[in-house]
Amino acid sequence: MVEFNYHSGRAKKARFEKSLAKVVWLCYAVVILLLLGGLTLVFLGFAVGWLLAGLFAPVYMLIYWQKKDLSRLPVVDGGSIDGLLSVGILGRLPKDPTSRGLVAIIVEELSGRFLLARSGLGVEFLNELIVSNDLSMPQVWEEAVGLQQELGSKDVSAVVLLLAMIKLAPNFEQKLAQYKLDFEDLKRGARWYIQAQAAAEKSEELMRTGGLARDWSFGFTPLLERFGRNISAEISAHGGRTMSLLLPSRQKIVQQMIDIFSRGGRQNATVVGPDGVGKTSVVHDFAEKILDGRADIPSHLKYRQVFLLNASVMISAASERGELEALMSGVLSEAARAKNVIICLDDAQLFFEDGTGSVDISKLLLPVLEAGGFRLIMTMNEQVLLRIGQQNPAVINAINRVNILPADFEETMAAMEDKVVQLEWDLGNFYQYQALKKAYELSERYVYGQEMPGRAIKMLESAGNYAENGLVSARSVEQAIESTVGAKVGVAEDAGEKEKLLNLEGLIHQRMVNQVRAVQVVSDALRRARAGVRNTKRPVGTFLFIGPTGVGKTELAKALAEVYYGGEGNIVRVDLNQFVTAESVNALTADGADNPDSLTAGVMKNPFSVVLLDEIEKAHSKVMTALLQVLDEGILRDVQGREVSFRDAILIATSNAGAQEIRAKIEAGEDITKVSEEIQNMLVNSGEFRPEFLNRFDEIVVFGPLSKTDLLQVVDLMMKGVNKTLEAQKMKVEVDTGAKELLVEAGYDPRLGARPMRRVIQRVVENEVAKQMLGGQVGAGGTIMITAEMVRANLGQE
Amino acid sequence: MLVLSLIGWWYGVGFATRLRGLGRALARTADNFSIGLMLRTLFNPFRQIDAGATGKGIAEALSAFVSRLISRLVGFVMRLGMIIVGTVVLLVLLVGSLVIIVLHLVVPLLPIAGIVMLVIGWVPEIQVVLTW
Repeated sequence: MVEFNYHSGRAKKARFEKSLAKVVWLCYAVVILLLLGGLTLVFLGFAVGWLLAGLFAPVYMLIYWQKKDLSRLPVVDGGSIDGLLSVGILGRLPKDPTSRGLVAIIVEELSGRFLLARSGLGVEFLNELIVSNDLSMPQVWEEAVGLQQELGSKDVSAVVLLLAMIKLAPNFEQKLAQYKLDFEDLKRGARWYIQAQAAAEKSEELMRTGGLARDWSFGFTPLLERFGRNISAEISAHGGRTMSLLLPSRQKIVQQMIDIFSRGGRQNATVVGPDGVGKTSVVHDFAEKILDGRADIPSHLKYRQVFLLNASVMISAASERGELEALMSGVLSEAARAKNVIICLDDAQLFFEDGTGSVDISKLLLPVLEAGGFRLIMTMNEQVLLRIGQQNPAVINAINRVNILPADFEETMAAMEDKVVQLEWDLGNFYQYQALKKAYELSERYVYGQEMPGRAIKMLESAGNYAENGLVSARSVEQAIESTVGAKVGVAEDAGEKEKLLNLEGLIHQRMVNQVRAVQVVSDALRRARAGVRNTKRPVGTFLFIGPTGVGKTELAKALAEVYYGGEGNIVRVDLNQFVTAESVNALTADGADNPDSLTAGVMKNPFSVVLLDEIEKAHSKVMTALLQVLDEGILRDVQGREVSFRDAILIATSNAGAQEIRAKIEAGEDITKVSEEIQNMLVNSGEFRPEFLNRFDEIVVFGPLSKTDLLQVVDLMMKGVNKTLEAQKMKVEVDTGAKELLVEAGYDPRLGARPMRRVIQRVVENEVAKQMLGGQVGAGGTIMITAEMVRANLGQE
Repeated sequence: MLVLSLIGWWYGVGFATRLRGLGRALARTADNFSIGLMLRTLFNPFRQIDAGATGKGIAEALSAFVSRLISRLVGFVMRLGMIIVGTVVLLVLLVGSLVIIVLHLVVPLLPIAGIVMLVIGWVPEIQVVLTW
């Protein structure tokens, strides 16, 4: 059992340090007074001045002791906790510490405050969890020692003790969940502090950068300074030591670059990876590493200056190929003459292919790369490199590839923790840990064209604009996403929205008739999504609506978009009867720049929407295969290889397949809700759908034909539409019961559903209204009554 | 107890800490003047400034050679000057460090020295001459 020894030497020293720290400024004043006063007295002829001047020594010794030893007492592994506790904690602990007292100490310590503030945990949380439960101190010490080792902390600090006490408190997981945290999050938060502290301590170490001799040995570089940035000079001036350099994955990549430049082969390193993966950041880390004279690197690499060339500035200064080649030649010559320069061509693809903002000067660069004597770093996008390789295979043969893979969760969090320091400094905001986690989670779903950690950092930067009183929380990140991509990412909290969700069926039925089951399944799916109880790795809902034409399959998708998604505009509609060839898959997943109406472009633009795949049975089997992944995982890759997320969309596929059979069954008096499985089997047997395709849908709903009673309601809905149009002219039109029945008789066709009714309304009602308006029989404020006679007259039945 | 701990630390770990601090200050200064690197690059052209060979003729080659020679000479003079300045500064710093080391060793004895001086009663005689 781990015990606390109040009387140990280390504990006594820590307590003394706490007392001394309070009066250290007084001690400085006493030292100055004793020295000056004593010496003045001596020079004035008073021998007592010697004594006073001599007495400064013990006070000065105390100050030095406090500063250099007591405040940073090394840990002593003697089996008791007092040997491991941080000085700040140990100096404040009473003889018989209690968990309640320990909490009061922890909240005064920097590391304790760091974790509490970053996690958004307040005094109420501590009171509820720890203060109200008297924890056993030996258990707290034991847990803390285990956590110290697990977290890699140099001592048992406030943050470690806080974690230990939370873990020992009853129901801690439940309490943490109220703050949307779990214990792993707290451990990660503690590691954040520990690593930041380690980076700060490392920055205090002396960095040998070569001094004046380095600068005098190497040439002037006016051209390079005009078209590039000396990142080594920036690191020398402002300090480096970013936390990212402490990451093992980064160290490995930097070492790979050092190895390339250390061996005798071609002296170029091409950092290849997708956008946002941190290629430029790796070059910074490399520059920092070789700038340190004490680092374990070959002497010919030491103190080399890395210049990051800005391709856009160079191309804008010399847009013609000849001019650019001359400029690049000048830059390379200057770098060669300077003798200590490593040039980095950031976004090097701009120099290898002709296009908007890029000029192909590979004829100049290729010999430089092939000769191999000139030290050069290039950063390039993987896709572009493949393209360049196809056009010019010699480029691929001439370069040494250093691949960077997208960062995983831990690495992304570390990169964000590193970045937060700068963001907080620049924007004056404070980022909560939950904001970082949310940025990772949401950027994975909504930020395209970049990989981790870039996409998460981008998200974090945007969230800074939604800070509340300077605090960037998970909600700020959600708001940033909601305003940029229009998706609702949190759970429904607004009373109006909750009300709408609960009454969704009623609202949808205000514009469509019958099909109760279909309306219910989509409403249920949406409610599950907005309550946060759905599987977020799939679309909100995937439905296949089967049935004859004109029965409301498409109308339901439109109604849903209007009622909940803010208008019919938020519907991504793809008519799959246009995707009947094997090549159609490319059109389905085309880049938005080439085809803004492609499925992927539509969803990328509007991820929170209704996706309507009309007449799905007509699509080519390859198109259906491509859609399998969407139905399964909510992901579809576009032609550029970017993942497009359908995870916030409701997918509705419609099909007229089996319409004849459905009608026959209805006419035979069968209950449509009970023949669904039979119809599915029939569709599989007829080869119209593969079973694995049908199995991917959450629900397959069979739409029955509309009855005459249904059509009476359809007439009412259509009349609402006509009256809406007439609103601008302050007129109304009404249809009496007899006229309605006649309209239904005229518009009823079980094969075509409600579609003929639209034509009948146009022919009868709209024509009649037009005639009366033009004939002056009705004016503003008037009402037109459509009677049975009028219907007959307009239909030519008289 | 406290006094003993302080004295023990002062002549043990405290002394080592003092030496490390002085060593770091010396290392930082040495890095700034980088005398070793100055010596290794003593005859290098100053900031690589030279006219360079523009053609293949003897005149151009000679001109480039002279230009480079001048640059090397300038480099040599500048570096030698800096080596001398750096050495002097480092020497001053070294002497200063030695004084600090000695002071560190005698500081705990200063109160006793003060008592001794008080008992002896010696004070320096300072003659102030005022002239109108």
